[in-house]
Amino acid sequence: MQRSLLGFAILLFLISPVIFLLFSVTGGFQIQIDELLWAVKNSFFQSFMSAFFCLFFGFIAALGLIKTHQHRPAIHAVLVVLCLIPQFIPVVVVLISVMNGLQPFPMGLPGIIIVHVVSYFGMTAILIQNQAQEVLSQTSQAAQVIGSSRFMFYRKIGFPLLRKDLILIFTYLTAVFFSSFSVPLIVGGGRGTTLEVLIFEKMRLSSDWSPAVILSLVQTALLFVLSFLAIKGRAKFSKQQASLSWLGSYAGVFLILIIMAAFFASFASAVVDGLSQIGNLSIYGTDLIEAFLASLFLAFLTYSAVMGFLFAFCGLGRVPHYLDTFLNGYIAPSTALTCFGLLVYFPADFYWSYIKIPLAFLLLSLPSLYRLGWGEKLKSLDPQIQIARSLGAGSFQILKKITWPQMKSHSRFMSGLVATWVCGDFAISRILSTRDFTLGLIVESLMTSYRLSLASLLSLLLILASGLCFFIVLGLDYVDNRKFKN
Amino acid sequence: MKHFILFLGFIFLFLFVSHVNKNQSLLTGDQKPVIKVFAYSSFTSKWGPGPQLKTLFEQKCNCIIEFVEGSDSGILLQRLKVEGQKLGADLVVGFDQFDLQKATVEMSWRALDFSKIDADSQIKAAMKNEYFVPYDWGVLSFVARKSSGISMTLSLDDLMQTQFASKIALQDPRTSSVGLQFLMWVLKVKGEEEGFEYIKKMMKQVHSYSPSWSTAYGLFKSEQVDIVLSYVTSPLFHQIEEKNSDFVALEMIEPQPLQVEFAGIPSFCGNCEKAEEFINLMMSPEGQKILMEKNYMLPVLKNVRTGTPFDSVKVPFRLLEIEFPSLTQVESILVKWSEIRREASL
Amino acid sequence: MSTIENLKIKKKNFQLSIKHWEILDEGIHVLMGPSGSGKSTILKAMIGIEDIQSLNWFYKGEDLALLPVEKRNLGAVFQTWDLFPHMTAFENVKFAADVRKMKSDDFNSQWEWLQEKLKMKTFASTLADRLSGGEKQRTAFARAIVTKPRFLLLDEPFSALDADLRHESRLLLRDLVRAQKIPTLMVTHDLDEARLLADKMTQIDEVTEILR
Repeated sequence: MQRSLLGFAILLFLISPVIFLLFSVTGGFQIQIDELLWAVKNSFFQSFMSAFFCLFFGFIAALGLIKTHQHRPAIHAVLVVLCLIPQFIPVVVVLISVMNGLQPFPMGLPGIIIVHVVSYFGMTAILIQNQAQEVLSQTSQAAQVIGSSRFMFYRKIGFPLLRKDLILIFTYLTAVFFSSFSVPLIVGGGRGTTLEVLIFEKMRLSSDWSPAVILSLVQTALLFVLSFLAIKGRAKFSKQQASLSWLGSYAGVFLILIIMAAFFASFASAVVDGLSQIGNLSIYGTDLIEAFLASLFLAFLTYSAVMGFLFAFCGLGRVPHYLDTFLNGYIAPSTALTCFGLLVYFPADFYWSYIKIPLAFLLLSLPSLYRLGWGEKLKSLDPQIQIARSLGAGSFQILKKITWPQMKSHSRFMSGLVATWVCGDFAISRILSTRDFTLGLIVESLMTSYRLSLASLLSLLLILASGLCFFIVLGLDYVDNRKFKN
Repeated sequence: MKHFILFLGFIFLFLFVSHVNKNQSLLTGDQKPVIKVFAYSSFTSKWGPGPQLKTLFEQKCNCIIEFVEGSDSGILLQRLKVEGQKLGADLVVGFDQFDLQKATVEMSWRALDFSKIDADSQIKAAMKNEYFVPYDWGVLSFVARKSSGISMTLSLDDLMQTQFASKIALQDPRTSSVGLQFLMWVLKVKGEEEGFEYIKKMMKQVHSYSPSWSTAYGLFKSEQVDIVLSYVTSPLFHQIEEKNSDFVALEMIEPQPLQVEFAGIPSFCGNCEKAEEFINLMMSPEGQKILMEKNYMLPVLKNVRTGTPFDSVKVPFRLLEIEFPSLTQVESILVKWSEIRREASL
Repeated sequence: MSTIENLKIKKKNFQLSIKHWEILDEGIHVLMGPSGSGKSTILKAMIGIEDIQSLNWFYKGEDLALLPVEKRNLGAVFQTWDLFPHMTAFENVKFAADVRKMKSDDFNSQWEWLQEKLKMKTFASTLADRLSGGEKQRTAFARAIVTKPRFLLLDEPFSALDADLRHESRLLLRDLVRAQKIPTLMVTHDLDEARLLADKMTQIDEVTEILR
């Protein structure tokens, strides 16, 4: 009974912004079908193409990670950091850098794909490499001993075995890009409006938010269907960790280095430009330090919120089927809708920003984190939970002794990732807060007042804050694991 | 491990306490009344006029000014609608002439007396309303680099030349008031039918429709485009702040549009007199100078520009009349624009 | 004897029912049947971790089916053993004792006996996911019986072991349950295993009705 209530509460919590808005909008819920179909077409096209190219480049980059994983750990670590950097850097900074680096920058669909690929190819590579390690370890050794070539192995064994995982990653990427907001808004050029941008336009322009709510429900439904077309991920986690380096390629290493070098070069030129105006930053005085600390504080709050929620989620024990189905489908909630929903519900005072922003990130990131492997890991503990129950353990005992010790590390990583996103955010913070109190918001203010180069310069601080955040989380994990092993 | 967690907890607490403490002392300092001013982010940021006006005002009023930000006037209006009364908005800064009708329909406002304002003659038409006082204005034009070799005088039709193919940065009229200004400008000078035909051709010609002025300007600054729709005062920013004289506002053959920024006091204000006093500060010569120098917009009051670099700004001889289109008018124009956009992308 | 009555299970692709079935309340009772015949489902239903429509399980005058899982005081070992990989062998066993709030003196003496009987001293401090198959199985047994449960339920506990270990393990189990006097129900499809261990054998189709 308690578990059912908890499951239901989690579901309600995840859709709460939509519920707030549904109760507060009073409009006619009418939409223009032509406009809807046009936006859906654009959303699908840009998300599919972005996911395809991301997967393509991600796969090649993964070969580089596979090559260096066992025998060149130091290089591997550097490559992983390089792959993750675009995830830590605010989207607007990635945009400025990519656009600076490509002259003329192709606006519209090609531009959207380029920015998406640069932002996500690294993360995709890491996902593919992890899955390859899980799935191919057992077979690769045998194939190597037989004398198979790399090409033959991938053709006959690797791709067939990895097919499900690649489709899962493709679907995940499609969902992320489907509901992508800043990139199509800025780089789309205004012609190929996506559903998410249309939702934002409706909410911004009109007093009647009912069309925006309808569009958001349509987007959610489409993503549900999309996610169920993909085969679900694997439940088993292989323990065998054979070396796959013969399956890797240095071409992947070069790809990562070339893309990131180009990215850093154009980012650096914007930063150097900003350095010439560094004196202008004196206007902020100690506010920059406070903003740095406030960004970190917000990140820690978000980290705590996500960890707390994941802990409560683990209290479910076995994930109810309806909740698992929902979370597998509800991959990418609408950013605009979530933010406006929270705006409607919560008090407007400044201090509530410290609640609203972490909550927004929790609601927006949780479904995709679940789908990205956290949910499968939890479900893999089902047999242990059953045994513990049959031994007579209560729910809290199972949570404390069985589930949480095994989910803690993974949860910490996920929470850390969300916390670093918060560090660099301005889009969500701008809607939910009432003043410039974080680094991300200050960067955005600079951009809106001619000072683009300074915005690039200050985004270095942003990267520092995000990196600090993430390494503290990794440090926590390392210390905790050492305690376990000892 | 326990020690590590304790250490982190201590840092957490320290950050929280120091941050809350700082803001607490600002807000509850000496039980002074708090005047809540809703404004867009470039007004309230360090670079904007907000902080200086706030300091000046607080020296005299025995009160505290608290800014509540929205990223632009559109978000501001939505924010006001959702939170305005809860938060106790006393003053709203940053509407343009397209927002006024909507603002009046959605909320009620306090009537203001403009009779004592000695406004520039070009801006007098903006005073023809009871509730919203204009505090600065700008003339829209295209900004280019002298070194790009573009002619300094252009017509709207010249923008269709091949040299400008994919070289013009415009703004989306649905999300940017500057973008909407362009749309209305074209329709005004060409008439509706010809105007929309022009817009159709522009869809193919333009580099992009950015969601905001700053994004479009960013494209221009990073040399992705050769010209951008902005203000005649934009080159002055580069001259003064960056010591760069390469930027120039093009002179258009057609009469050019004005954008006027307004401030208003909601009828549910809690500190209405103080809010009016703040407006008086904004409309004083000192306040106007601050607005001019920080916003890089033109002052409403006469003679404020004299003796300043803004004196050199060439305000075009022919300007469009300031108009206050109705909500329905704006909505139907935007619907038509959206249709054209959709067809262009098919 | 304990009695199973009125068991009804409805799943997506089959329905199973047992009207009346008597199980030994001492020694090893084996339930035999081919793979996919519903043996494991019946076992899980008795433990209380299977969705069922109805069940009565009378044991010493009490209907165990009315009790929640944790109050039934059962021991169980599944095919996959399902040890807690982040705990050592000792911690796995201790967990069961802590859950049942076993007194530490009782636990210590029981643990000493189990270590001796199951030869666990050499790997008691090893993490469960590093144990060999035989060691895992012995740990699973120890965990299941450390608290002297009222019933022990085994679902093909030897199938994952290789042949020479299997025989040794079966004998170990037989000695264990006899020494501890724990009534045991074991499901298997292996006839040799059933013959070696069973004090009573039941074929599944003798007691169940299955509709597919």
